[in-house]
Amino acid sequence: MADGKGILLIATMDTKGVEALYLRERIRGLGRKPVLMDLSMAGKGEAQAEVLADEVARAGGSSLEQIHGSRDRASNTEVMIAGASSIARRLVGEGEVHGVVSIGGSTGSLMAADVMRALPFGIPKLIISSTAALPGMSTRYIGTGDITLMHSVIEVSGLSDVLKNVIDRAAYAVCGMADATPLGELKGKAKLIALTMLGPCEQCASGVRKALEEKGFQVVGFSAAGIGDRAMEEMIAQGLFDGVVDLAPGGVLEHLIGGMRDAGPHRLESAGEMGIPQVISTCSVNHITPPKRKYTEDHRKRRKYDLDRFRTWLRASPEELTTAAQAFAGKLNRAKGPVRLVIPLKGWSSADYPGSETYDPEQDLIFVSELKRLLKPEIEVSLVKANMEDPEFARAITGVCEEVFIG
Amino acid sequence: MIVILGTLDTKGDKIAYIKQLLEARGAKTLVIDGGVLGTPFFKADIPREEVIRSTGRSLEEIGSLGEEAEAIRIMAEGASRIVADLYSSGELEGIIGVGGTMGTSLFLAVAAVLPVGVPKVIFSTTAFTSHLRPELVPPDLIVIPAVSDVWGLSSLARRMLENAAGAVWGAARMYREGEDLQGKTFLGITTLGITALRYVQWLTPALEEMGYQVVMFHVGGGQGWPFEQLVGQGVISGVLDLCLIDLCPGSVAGRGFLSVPGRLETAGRKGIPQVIAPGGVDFFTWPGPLEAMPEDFRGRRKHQHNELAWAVERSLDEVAETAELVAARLNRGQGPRAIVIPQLGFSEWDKPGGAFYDPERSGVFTHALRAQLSPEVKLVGLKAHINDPAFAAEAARIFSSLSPSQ
Repeated sequence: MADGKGILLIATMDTKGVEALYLRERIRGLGRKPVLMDLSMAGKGEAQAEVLADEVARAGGSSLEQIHGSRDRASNTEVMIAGASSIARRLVGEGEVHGVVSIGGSTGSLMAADVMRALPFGIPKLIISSTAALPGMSTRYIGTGDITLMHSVIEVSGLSDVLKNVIDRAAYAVCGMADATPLGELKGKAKLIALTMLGPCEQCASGVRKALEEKGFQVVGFSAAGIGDRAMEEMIAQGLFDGVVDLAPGGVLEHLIGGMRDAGPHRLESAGEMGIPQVISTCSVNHITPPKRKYTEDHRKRRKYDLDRFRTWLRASPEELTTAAQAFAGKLNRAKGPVRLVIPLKGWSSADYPGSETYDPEQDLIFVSELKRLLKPEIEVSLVKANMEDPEFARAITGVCEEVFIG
Repeated sequence: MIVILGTLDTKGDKIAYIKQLLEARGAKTLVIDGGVLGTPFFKADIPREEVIRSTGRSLEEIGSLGEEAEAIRIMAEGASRIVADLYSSGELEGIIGVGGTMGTSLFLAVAAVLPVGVPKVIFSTTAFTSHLRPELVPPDLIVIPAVSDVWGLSSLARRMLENAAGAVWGAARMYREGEDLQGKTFLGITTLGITALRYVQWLTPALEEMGYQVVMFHVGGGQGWPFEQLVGQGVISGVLDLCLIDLCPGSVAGRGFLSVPGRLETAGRKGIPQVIAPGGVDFFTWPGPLEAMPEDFRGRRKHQHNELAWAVERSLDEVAETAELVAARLNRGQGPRAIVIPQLGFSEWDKPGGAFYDPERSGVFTHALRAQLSPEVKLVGLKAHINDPAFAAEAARIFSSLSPSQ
């Protein structure tokens, strides 16, 4: 383990100084080169850090002096996160750093998580946090990042034997992760395709995956329930994928109406920005899932489909379908790479079958015609006389994939 | 030896890859199969039949259960026994689990038999969700989220698994080479961040002078769970449980406020010395956005704790209910127990001019407590605020009077 690989250590030295210095010693003891970056916003920072708080503040477009003079905690935090992210990205880019670890309480962990999310997928990231146990907190820390979370057992305050034991284990763990694989070999030879799916288009997803794998592609599936597809957008933006099969882009409308599967404002954008080919379909685009406690009178009157005991899909209104089409067109018209839409005419998921309350292929056409009206002419829309889950629809998708992915 | 636990029918390829990575680095591995559905991907060192047999049941019995959750419970029981034996024999150096919903709950149940300090790593597709219920999470768990629903072993899946294997490999090496916690004991103090409760600065040196090593639990950050778990494991030999914000009366528990169901019970069960105080009982913690707080609480006095949580006032009725709960739980316990009431306020905000100040609160608490508290538990009223040095001095003095001299 003694090849001197760098490990970036993020901490606020004004509050967690003793613990951070102990962690740095342990990392050094394992033959690694620790780079301690101080995110302190009070006090004068710690002169012993390799990257001083003032350097971080300056990289974020301010200075420690200005931060001390300001009472706007939120904007101070933003500055430190921006500065730390840009320094961390540079260190990773230059090959100086092969893993990142942070130690802190709630504020420190949130800042560290933001910095880590700015780093490429795959580089080891470990947060040691005292508030990891708070319900739902892991989600709020790590968001959609590939960030490992280690519960600190006790408060990060003073070097008791318990905390030393925790820090020792963290040091060994992050060093163990850092020499897992040489970086830069993440992309194999086979082209990587991202694919979104939901339960109600599982047959289609699985058919498309098998067919693409037979053609030599690697397919990575993402659940389009809000978090998974958001993670996919971030990973596409990092350049990890060669193509996208977006079977379930319902997160676009969900974002606009406040649904549970909201996938953020940038859903359906990264592939276009990166210029990689994308094949898009419409599973669940005609349904919305507002939280039940926020149902309006209008929601209660909608046609609905109970996915299971907890989840109910409501039929999107004609106005919402129009709004969705406008959002799709706006995003896809900006795409720098090839875009193809493939839309089934007999229902957009297994929830849309003849006899189902929400089955309404005629209304689905509102989306289709509005989309066709707004899309730039080079984006082709293919209509298939089948249901999303029919084998022939999966074949249609696969056929289009072959055209755009292989060319 | 590193134990790899998972369901070989659904996650077999990933488990095989982790095994290969660990062995390539010279680690000895032992694969335990907790799967009950399809055919295992490869033959485990401890196959499912053996896991089931260790519970005294047969594979046929499991097959006829017809309920997956019950089957997983039985697999967890069997795997827990096997893992506990490996730990007592001194062979086990760490455990890693690979899981979706079922695999994760299997792993958490098994990891719970291992004391703090033994490396526990879970690679889970449900790390983002509420499946990781805090009462089930071992206090030193390392959680690695599976970012995509990985099908097979794409290069992305491989990278995540390599990180997971690296983490458990490193942690196991530390367990082998480093200092462990075996045989050491500590005093546990519960508190909040230094703004709300300030006794730690005086209490810690006083207790250290008596020869104790002190560890702190930030219950506002959810450390009520690890606190109870460590007391249960015997790592904590005495408590100064001076902050009870996560003790919620029945009328409030289950409504989303920070609430740790087993609070104030473990120390009494173990019979270790405990000094209790109602620190922070002037409010509840809301660990989420304000918009999501139940409406009937939104009109109350409140203030923002930090980026993650809000504090909202506890009504006098709820303070009385909390006191009754404290009495009931202390009465059930054993060992030397005392409760100290700082009559001039329960937190920094419970002071004249503070967000939650109410001069009646300590009287209401004391009255409700006294009505039900067993005479076995010493009750001390102190004319001081919880953040006065006098409170810390009194808590330390009472603790030393309760515990055998060091």
